[in-house]
Amino acid sequence: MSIAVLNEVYAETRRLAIAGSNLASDDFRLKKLIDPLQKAGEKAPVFARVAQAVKDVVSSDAESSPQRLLELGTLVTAIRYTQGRTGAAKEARSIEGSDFGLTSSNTSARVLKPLIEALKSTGSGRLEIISEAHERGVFNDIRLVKLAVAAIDDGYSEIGEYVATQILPAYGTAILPELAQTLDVKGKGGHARRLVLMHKLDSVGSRKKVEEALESGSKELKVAAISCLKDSEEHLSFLLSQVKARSQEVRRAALDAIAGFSQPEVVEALLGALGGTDAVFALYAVSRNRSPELLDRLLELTNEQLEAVLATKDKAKRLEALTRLFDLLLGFQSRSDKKSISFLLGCFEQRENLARVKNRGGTDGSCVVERVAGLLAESKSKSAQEQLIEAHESLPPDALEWALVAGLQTCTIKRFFTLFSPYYVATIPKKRGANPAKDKQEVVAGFLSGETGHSSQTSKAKLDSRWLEAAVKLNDLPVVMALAQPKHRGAIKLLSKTVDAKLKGKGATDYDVSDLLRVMIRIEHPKCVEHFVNLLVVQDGSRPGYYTHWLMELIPYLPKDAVSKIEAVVPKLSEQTIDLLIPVLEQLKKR
Amino acid sequence: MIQIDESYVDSAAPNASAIKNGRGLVLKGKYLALNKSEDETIIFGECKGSGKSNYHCSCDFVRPEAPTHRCSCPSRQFPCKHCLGLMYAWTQGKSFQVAEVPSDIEEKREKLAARKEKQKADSGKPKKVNKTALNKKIQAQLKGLDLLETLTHDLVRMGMGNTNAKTATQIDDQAKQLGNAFLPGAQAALRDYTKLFAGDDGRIGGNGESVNLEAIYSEALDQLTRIHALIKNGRAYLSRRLADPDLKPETETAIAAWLGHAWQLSELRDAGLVENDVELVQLAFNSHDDVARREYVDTGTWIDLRSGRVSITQTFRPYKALDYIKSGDSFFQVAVVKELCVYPGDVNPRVRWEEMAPRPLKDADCRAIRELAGSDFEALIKSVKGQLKAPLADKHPVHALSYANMMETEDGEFVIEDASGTRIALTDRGLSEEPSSCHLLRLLSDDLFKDQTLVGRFDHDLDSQRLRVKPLGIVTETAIVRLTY
Repeated sequence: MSIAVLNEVYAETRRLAIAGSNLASDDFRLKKLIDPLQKAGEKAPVFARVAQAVKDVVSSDAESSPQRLLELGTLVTAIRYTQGRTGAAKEARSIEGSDFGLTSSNTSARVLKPLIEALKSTGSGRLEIISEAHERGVFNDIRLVKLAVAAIDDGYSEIGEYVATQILPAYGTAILPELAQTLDVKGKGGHARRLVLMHKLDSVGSRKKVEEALESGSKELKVAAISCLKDSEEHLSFLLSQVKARSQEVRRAALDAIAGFSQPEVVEALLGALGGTDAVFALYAVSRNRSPELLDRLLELTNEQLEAVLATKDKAKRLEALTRLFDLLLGFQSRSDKKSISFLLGCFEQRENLARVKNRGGTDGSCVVERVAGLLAESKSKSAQEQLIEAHESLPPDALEWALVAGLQTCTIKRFFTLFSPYYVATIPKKRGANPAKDKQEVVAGFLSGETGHSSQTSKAKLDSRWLEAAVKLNDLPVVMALAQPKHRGAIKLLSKTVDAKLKGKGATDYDVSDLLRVMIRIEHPKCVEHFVNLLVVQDGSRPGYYTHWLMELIPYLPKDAVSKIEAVVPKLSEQTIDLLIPVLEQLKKR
Repeated sequence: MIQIDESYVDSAAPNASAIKNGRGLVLKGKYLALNKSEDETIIFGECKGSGKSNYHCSCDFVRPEAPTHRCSCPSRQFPCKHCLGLMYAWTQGKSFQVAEVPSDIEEKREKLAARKEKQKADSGKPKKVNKTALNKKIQAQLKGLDLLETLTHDLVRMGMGNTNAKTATQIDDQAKQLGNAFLPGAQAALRDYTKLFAGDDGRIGGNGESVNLEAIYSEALDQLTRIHALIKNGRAYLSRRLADPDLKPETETAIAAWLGHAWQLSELRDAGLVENDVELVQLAFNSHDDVARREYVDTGTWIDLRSGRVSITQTFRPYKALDYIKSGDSFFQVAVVKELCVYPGDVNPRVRWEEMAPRPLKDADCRAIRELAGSDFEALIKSVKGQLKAPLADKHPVHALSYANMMETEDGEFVIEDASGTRIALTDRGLSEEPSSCHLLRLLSDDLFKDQTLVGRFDHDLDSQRLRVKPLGIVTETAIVRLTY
């Protein structure tokens, strides 16, 4: 009872403090509390003091009212501080902990602050801070979990994507409640990433949310939900219905999602899509589908087009069939079954007839031949690859590259050299117009140097050392750079000669200088440090701190004795370059 | 022999750019001379600068626990990049020639040694006070308190409800006069009041919707009563000092600091506020930007492994002096402090030291913290309430609490319970600058919900009349899990 009165006194004091103590004089609400306070004061003197303070307030004038109201406020507040309730009367249960296993929080504030700033703010340069922190294992700190989850919505989608794919999966299912709580099925990018992550972490538990997104989600969420249901037979009918959805993104996601099923209705749906605007996407799905019926139908359709190309005299119709054939061949990607290989080999046999179909600026017969060659080269059929290799002489230049790809997989290094080196080392007279021999030479050189997109295969495979000899002889720098080996005199000499020439001429600031040095470091070129230092000085002299940026990246990979040599030229360098140099040189020292 | 390594030099630098610049000087070969004394207690050198003459810098390790850095450059950073570079050159094994210590440095060394001797000798002697100046200062402070009273009374007379952008700006302007009256503490208290009415953007009236006025009136009234108590107690204290100029600043309460007295370590020593051979473990660290005061405040919360007292360290870094003051940071080892100076204050006094040696945190240290923590919640709550009722008390004291269970109520509130079943609810309320932490509790593993020690900041919500605790960290048998930053 007494405490209730005290609370009333506090409420009235607060009211008067808000409204102004000018109004305190004769305040009837305060006045009526004096009696109960005095009564309580008979038992506890503190209430009598409060009663007196209230009396002072209600009897105050404009001048004295602030002082008296503050006196009353101080007294009542002090008493209230002693009356705080601490516990919770309600029933309490155990907390459901998580299996994070993150009990460490030994990240210093100096490290945390900029990272948290990067996670919470906007602006450039944040992804670098976040990824660097991730690589250093900083996210293994419980204080960063919520912030990392929130960063999935970052306005800069690369950060959202990075967080969703690189950082959050490591937290495991423990973040699921947080993800579910913040998921909005009507949302956009961040919420789509959230749904995909939830499904990745717990495909069964997140099913409800996925279904909700399918039913009533935004376009982005629908696409994400469909991608989550790739293997769900339970949702097949829904996925099939989405193949005809209004939104193109949804239709394509649905085609991708049903690709793994072989039910007749799926086959129908995929075949149906082949005739529409989504044909190319449907063909990617077809290539992943292993239904024999679908394959038969695909073979039938493709064969029809092949025959039409070969038989039709009408140019327009022939080109139409050729274009269709070119697309349909996409359905044979990663197929190594007998029927497919047999069809592709049949197609390949017709390469000369196909190559005759010309279409300036558009898809023509050689494009089809190249695609067929590519499919054979990437198939797992050794005999098909062998037929492709055997036919190398008859192949147009673009298709020759696929014979090289197949050769690298199946031939011995000696045979590979014997078969294909003549194209590379041939002396080809210059001539006007088409020059297939020259084109083939360039294809082989491009393949060896890795410029044509199959670089990983070239660099990984062990090649006959004669290739490097030939490249040195031809002064073919790109190929030498790709194939160079430590202690290869010819390569070492050519690389040195090239750098010297660049240093003497105007090439010292060329974009490829750092690539040259990278190769020299890789092959432990005896003069790599010397060349590096010379280039550093020349580049710095050309435009201080500008070109040298690319050279700085190489410093940590230089041999350790480079430190003293670089330090020796520091006095010749500009302040800007030295500023760039300090941290990387430290890295090299600490290596 | 100087025993330093690169990490020592890094930690001595005031900021990251000083480290980079110091290293840069060595790399750029800016040192024209690198010398050391024969006994290897000092390194000195000559560094090329942007001006005509070279800078002469030295790092004197004759007192290794408190080295002296000297440089002829005009930089206010301490140590400057030239001294840092000199130390980097030493750690990198550059060639230092033995040379005679320059006479000016020798003189300075002697002077310093003499000064230290004198300090030692003078430490027992009473400090001379310029009574006339003190008298003038106290009178100015009393006038300042009169001004503060007028301001506060005007605010109360007008009503908190009428505080708007215009009146708040006027108060802020008048608060400046309190600074001139040697009352920075009172000035800060007044600014803390106006700060309550500021939006997220720090502006009063800038975005009215961002400030829920109803939610802040109770706190504003509390702040006004605090200023009222400050005026009352401050006036009494200053009057006493005016009457007796020999009276020392009060050490029983924090009133001297409230009125803006900047305690010197020598004063603390004179007042006997010194503890020897103390071992401290940092429980929490927070660095925040105090926009109103235009400075960064780095606060470390520490526990004394012997007494269990929780104390704080504070580094104030005004925007203008950011380059010159070393920022605080989290500390994960045990700070072994030979001489700890303790400021007058209540439950979590501010502490400072000049020299500290780190040692690794062991499991035994964690166990010691757990044993020192309060395990009888009822007694602890009583003591906290008793402290909170004083108007000038720290309203958010930090305590270590050993709990038997951490649980969750049906409406999602977390509670801790001691062995006798007394509960304390947990909250995210507390200091606005500290990040929320309750949401992290669900992320903890199950073993942290039983028989652990919570480091928590008490908070009394005047509206709901609830005294709760904000979790700052959990001390287990082997580690300290920090929940804030």
